[in-house]
Amino acid sequence: MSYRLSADIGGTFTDVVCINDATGEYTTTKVLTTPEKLTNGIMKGFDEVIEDRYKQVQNIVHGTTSGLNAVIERKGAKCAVITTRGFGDVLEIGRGNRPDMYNNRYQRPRPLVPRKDIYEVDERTSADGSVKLPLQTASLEAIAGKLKDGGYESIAICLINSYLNPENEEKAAAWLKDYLGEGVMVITSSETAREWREYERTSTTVLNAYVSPITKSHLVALNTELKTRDFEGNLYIMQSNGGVMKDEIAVDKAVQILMSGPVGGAIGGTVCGRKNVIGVDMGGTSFDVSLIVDGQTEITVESNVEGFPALVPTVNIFSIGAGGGSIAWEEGGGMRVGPQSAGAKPGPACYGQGGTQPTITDANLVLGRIDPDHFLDGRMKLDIDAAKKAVSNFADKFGMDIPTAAEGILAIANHKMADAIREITVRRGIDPREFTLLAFGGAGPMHAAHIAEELGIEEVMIPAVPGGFSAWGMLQADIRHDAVRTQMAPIDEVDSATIDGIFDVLYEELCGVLAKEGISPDNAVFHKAMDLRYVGQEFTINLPVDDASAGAFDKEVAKKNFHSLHERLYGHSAPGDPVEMVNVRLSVMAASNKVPASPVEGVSGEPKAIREFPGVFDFKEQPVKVYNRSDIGMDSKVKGPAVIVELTATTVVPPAWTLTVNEMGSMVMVKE
Amino acid sequence: MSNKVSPIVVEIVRNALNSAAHEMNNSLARSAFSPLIYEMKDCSVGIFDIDGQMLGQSAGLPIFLGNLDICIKILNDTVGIESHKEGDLYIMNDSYMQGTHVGDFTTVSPIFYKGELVGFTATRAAMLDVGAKVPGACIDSTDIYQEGIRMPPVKLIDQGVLREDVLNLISLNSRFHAAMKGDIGAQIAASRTGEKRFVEILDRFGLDVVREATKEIFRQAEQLDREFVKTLPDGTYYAEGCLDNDNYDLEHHVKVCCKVVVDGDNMVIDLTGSNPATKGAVNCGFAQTIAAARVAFKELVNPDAPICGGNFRNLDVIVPPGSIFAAEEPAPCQWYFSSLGLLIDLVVKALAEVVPDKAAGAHYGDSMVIFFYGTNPRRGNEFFTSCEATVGGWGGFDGGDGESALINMVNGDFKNLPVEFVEHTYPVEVQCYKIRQDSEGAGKYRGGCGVIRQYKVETDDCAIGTWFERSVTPAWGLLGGGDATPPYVVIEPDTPDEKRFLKGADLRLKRGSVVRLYTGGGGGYGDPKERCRDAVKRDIENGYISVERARAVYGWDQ
Repeated sequence: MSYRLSADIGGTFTDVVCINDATGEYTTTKVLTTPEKLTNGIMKGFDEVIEDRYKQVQNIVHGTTSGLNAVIERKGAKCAVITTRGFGDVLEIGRGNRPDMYNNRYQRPRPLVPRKDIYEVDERTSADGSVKLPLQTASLEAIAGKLKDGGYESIAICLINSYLNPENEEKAAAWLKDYLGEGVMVITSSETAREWREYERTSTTVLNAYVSPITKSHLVALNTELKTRDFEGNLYIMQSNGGVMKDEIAVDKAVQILMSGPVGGAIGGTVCGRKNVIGVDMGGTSFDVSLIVDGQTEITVESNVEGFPALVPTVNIFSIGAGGGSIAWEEGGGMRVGPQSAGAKPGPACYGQGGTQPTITDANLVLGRIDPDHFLDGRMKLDIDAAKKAVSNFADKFGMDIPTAAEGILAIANHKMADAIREITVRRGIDPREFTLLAFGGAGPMHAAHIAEELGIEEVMIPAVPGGFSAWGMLQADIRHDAVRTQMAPIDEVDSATIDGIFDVLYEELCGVLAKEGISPDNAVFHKAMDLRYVGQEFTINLPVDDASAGAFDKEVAKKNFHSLHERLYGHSAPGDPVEMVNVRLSVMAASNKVPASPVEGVSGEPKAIREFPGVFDFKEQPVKVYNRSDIGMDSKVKGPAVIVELTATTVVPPAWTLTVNEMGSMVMVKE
Repeated sequence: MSNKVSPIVVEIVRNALNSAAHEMNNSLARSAFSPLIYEMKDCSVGIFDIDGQMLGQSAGLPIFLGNLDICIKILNDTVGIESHKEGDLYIMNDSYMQGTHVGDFTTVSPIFYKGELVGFTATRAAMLDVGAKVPGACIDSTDIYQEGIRMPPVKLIDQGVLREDVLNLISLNSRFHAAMKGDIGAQIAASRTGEKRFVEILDRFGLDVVREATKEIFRQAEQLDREFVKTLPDGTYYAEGCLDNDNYDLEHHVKVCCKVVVDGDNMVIDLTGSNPATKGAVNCGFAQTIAAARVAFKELVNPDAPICGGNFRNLDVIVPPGSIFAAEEPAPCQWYFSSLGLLIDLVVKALAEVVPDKAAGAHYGDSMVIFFYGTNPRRGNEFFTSCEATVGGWGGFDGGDGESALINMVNGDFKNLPVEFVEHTYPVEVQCYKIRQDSEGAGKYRGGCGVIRQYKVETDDCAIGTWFERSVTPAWGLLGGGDATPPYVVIEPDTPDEKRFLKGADLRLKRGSVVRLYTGGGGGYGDPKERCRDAVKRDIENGYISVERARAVYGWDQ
């Protein structure tokens, strides 16, 4: 008997999933996240599902927002930055842009490293990659005292044009490691993100230096706890790119796990049995949309961490400010919903923590779409009177009754979410009607059918354990690593052998990482890609070039594919125009042992409602049947209006919708 | 409140209209050829009702807020509203009509529903080149004919049929024919997207419901605007300032006068007294002056809310005829936004004392543009031209310091060029890019600092053009806060050939020449002596302020 475990650590809750490798059966639990010492919450969850069988656990996958929280709360490591003389303000100046158009009091996110902790050294690499001025050790010696006595936990070295030639960075790193010893992490920009654009590269490196020490101590603590329980398997960390890596590799690549939080769900979407999926994950404060086209997630090569750019391949997730906590309010005699949120504290009025403004959750509650006695499987009792009062105050402003106002709140929110999905898909030339809507997260399945209806989507799927779906998805992730080099030149001016040479260098680099994973290159799959653009463009397109590189690299094939991809994405192409290469990328994946989800066994026949209570749909009071998910079997059929409750989520089946269960144990809703 | 349509439907329609406008903008960005559009967002789109009132808008740059409606009115006055046919699309760029420089093209297309004219879509986008006397933009134009092609509303699509002859005529006037055709094509695509989405909304809710909902949406917006103005004490508020010069007559400043009258829930922005039209290119078409006044208003009233035809109904703008703000043929308009940037800042200054929670010290003010052009020996001596806007400091405000090194107000989310991009692409070396110490306007809440950016030329054939502004009226402080240090440009610094200036056209440089840019800071807020001592200490530690300046200005005594 062997098991795999995963933990998805969110801001409030940690979801834990345990899969039995032989049967695909899984158990889940949800525990409170313990921000002061994350290990406590994780171990509590693990202990609950695995008890004393740690010896039989092969793999643990662990996704954490701890690094991200450190950035949000400014509780990361104390870092210093070493940079080229004249460029100490790269981090503060950034790109000079601001997202708030009419705000004359705009304040950018405070840099993670204050100006006084940035040190300039004498050195310079030219734009052709040659070293114009070798690193002057004397200028390091001049600041050595400050670096030693400054209490720094990590040092980020980010020199101009080092993406072309890391020589000076490596020299500085060697000198500093030697001088400062083991206790201080020294990280160069060329090993973190060897791409051009000094601000983006510096930002990425600083993020890495800022969160790596914390991530390291967290992983050490977790390992220690696991050892005391006789765990002998592999500990993997979820990355933003949708893959996993071993914990010891994650220690100095912490920037690669920063945006991994919502990624598990998207990965789960790739193995849900449908090729084209729009994943919606709705929690308390946000509504995350992921796209799976032809079975693949969409990877972007640059992401944004709390306003700071990170040159880290990341699964594209679009976040919209709408969640269960979104507040309904009045403005100028009009109804508004969101984007302000009641958050976790005070939370929706029905949490009984002092919230007085009506939220989406309150509206769902007063309409009978949440069973107050079975929220979180009965672990949290909801105060329906407080919800009614909040909605009633709001309804009075418009001379409405409570159900009408509550339905109004939900209708506005559902339309907004549908509008957002329409914008995201149409922008990519995708027709949402050809997709399945996969809803997860605590609140996603409550709204999914209504959103689907707005978009003309015919099938809604709710996976087994929707609230723990992200944790389940992590167990479906492959091991993945990426490597990149910037090589800017019109593609016609570079001979194919040079490009092959770059791929060879990247291959060697990734084999080194694979060795640390204990994986032979023969058991891994490599994918080649390039960031290309027309000469004169700023934006690049990431083009897979595997078929152009089966033997020696074939420029003509790559160019042809680039033109057609450009046509698909932007609606036009210019086959006569010169194409420029910017970045050369290689990624490697080693498959994990994917186990299909298994359906609930032993339940059959028409499910029995656990209770019935008055709900409102289409502005009419209608009796709503409440079912336990565990009572719904393979041959069950539930007609709306109905509510299906389980520990991690609530699913709403509106009138005229019917719900069945498919071969993977997912619930499927279609409209009659 | 309308009796016919529920507030729920009104809100759903309101969100859907704005979403439709976003989709138009996505469509424009997605199919544009020019990075000015898809990267720098130098564009704007909207959907309008039959009266030309805005239903939904998506603007890329702040300065493009709300003047597409005027273009629709001009079109209808020119061709007659009854002449529109389904599938028509007009294009125009005349500065005196659309307001901005001729480098921006505007399209307007009627929307029909079941055979009835129900509204319009409009788009505006910046072209790479419109055939000015030099590539890109002129720094020293003295009439509009030097600035490129000029078009009144011209029918480009006639009942769904593209007039190739007109498109060829227009694109032949650009140095980049194909790119211009591509970008106009993107505008057409965006226009069609907006039309399609609007018709879908009509299908879904019905024309009557959408019309009723629209009335209510406008009413809400108007109420919010009026509620805000009503909170201001009645009275007349005034501020003035000047541009350094128009780059033709270097001896005279260009005056901008801004009187704001608050009367109940109405506001008037009166520009009487502002400079007569100039020979140099700081003039602005009437339509864009209105837009700028609205931007200033918007900075104060619900900055985050989307705008619609119900907004600005309580805002009247008085524009003196013959002034820089109502440009007439043949006044050049290339740098219209220098005057407008100042106008926007002055409106906020005039009202600062009555909107202390919205006001801030002035920001560094202008785009601070530098062009490099010449031949690039690293790329087979091919011709190159670069254009950069330079960041500077923003004003302090009650409760916070101004930011250092941000792009100017009218340019929004525009990004600077990375050092590594510049060095790779052009034959120049960037020698430093750093915060300019002591350039802030002092204050209890200080302004942000400007920057110093230095280039060394690495080609024998190179010239620069610069457009630096706001040295005569540098970023001012508020309520006892100090003014910031003004900007300047210097070539060959610390040598006998050193030369300081702000605006320069076609200055030839040699290999090894050094160009150093200094941008200004933002104005301070409140008495610097009252600045929290910890903050002063932090500023010294972090090098924003020297100890000498801290002692002299902030009363630092350690």
